[in-house]
Amino acid sequence: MNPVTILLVEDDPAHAALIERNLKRSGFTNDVIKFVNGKQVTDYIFSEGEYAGEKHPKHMLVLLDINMPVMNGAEVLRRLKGNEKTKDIPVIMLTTTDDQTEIDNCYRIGCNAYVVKPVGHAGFTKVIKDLGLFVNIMMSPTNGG
Amino acid sequence: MNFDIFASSLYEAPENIFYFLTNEQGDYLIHPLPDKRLAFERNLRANYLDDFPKQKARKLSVDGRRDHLRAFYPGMGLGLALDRLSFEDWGLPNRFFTLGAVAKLSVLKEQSSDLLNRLFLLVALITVVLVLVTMVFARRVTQPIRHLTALANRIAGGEVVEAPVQGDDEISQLAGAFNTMLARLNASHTELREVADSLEEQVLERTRDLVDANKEIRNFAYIVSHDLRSPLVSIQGFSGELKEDLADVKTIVGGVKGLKENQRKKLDELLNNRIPEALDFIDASAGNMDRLINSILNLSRVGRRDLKIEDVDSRKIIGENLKALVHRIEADGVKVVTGEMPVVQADALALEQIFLNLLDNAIKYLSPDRPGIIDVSAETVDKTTVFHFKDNGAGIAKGDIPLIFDLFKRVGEQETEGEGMGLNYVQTLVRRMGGRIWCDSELGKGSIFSFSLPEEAKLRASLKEITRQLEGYKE
Repeated sequence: MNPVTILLVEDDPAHAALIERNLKRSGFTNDVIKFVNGKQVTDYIFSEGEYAGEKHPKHMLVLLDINMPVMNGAEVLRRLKGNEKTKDIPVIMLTTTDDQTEIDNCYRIGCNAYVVKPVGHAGFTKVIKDLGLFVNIMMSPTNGG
Repeated sequence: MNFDIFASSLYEAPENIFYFLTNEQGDYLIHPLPDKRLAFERNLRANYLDDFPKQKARKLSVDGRRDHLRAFYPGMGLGLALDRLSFEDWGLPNRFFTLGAVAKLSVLKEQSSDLLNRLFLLVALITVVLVLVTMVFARRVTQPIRHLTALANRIAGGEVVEAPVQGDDEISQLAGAFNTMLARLNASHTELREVADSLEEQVLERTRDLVDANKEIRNFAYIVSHDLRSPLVSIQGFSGELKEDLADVKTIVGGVKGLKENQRKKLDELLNNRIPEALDFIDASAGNMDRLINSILNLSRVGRRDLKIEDVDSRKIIGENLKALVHRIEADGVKVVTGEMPVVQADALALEQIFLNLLDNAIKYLSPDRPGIIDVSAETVDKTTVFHFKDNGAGIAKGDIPLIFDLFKRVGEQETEGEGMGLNYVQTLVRRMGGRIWCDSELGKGSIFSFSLPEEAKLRASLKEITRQLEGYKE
């Protein structure tokens, strides 16, 4: 078992709860740590600010919202992908924004996947389930994770 | 000038001497006979050479210059002295007057040739005086006029100048009037420039405001659609969660024993009807809201998409539209008539969307009282093509017509589904292609929706202009 920890960055607690529930429902048992803005998660990953001196798991995957206070998702992505130490951490954008320029922008900065949250429950459940499967495949040892 | 008085100062018998003045051709300007003095003014032209033909002169004494002579006319009993009044000095080399003096021969006889000499002297003196007087006078007249002309030319060249005013004669008054006119001209010019400047400023300001407002609306639409969507995801997500949980609850309740009959009934009602119904309403409402938000988002995207103007066959597009709507057209028994459809310069996707929305509206709002007829036609005047979508449907009340292009506005009785965005969307597309959309309608009779598409050059120009303004403003 590959101990991948999911860093769920989402300012809306309802969304975070929905995502977590649906990940669990799809049989996903990995640890999920929730963050409410970009600053929190970068502090965690770079061991800065309130997480100064703290250690973090070896294998991480970031589920990143875009529109957030303090530091938005695009900025987090830029920081992670612009740093040698963190550029290999997989980042999946998970957002309600389906604007093509935003999508293009995130892929340009280097996100590994861009997932639009569907409004309907069925669609949402399916997307998160697929996402869970996708993450499992991506993090499997044969894939070098 | 009164010749008689002038002559009397030199000669004692002025009543026997007559004077005349002619132009270059010898036509009298002043006739020698007092009763014909200003005959030329009455268009009675007469030439002195007819009165004093050279052949009849007995003795001519010429002073070197032509028309500078003394002559006897024995047959007529007259003596004649002539001198020329030249305008050479004023830059008119070919212009001259001839001044003449005639004396009766009886007088001449008595006083012999001495008189003729004195006669000539008289004429010569008058000539000199006339020349001097006219020169001075002319200078006084022509110089200010020339000056004014020069000034007028400088003004025409764009200079701001003023005419000098000396004395209070007519010319000075003219110069004064000229100055007044100049001052007014300058004032109105300044005023005009100020108005033009402020107008330019205003246009710039308005453009800036418009660009601002446009940007704000787009941002607003984007933010609204995004931010409203986020809670919707939660609402629908958790109503779905509740449905899943409800299924669990029902399973558990089904296995519970020892419930009273009325409790079980109540629980059945709650779990099978009331709660699922509430969740369905939440779902449906969230779904409606999602559609609305998507419409705003689409609309805000229309404003941002770059249009590609090219030759578009409107017949082909209307054909595709009708194919897409074929089920509704057949189901409602609608007859669609299309006239000559031209090739126009437009963005193909935009034109297709415009057609589709107008056709969709025409079908949607047909009257249930009669078979629907939709007539699509086009006309091209002055390289501007106007499309008409005419229906015999429900029509729109006169007061409602201005509202139909407003966002989210739906007028009249609502029996059909819709978000009230279609016409606003259509209007945005038409305007982006440089055209205009309008509606003629009569309640209960039907509507005609018309929109114009200007020729390509104009279109490109307007697009270019808008882009330029937007870009200019960005910097």
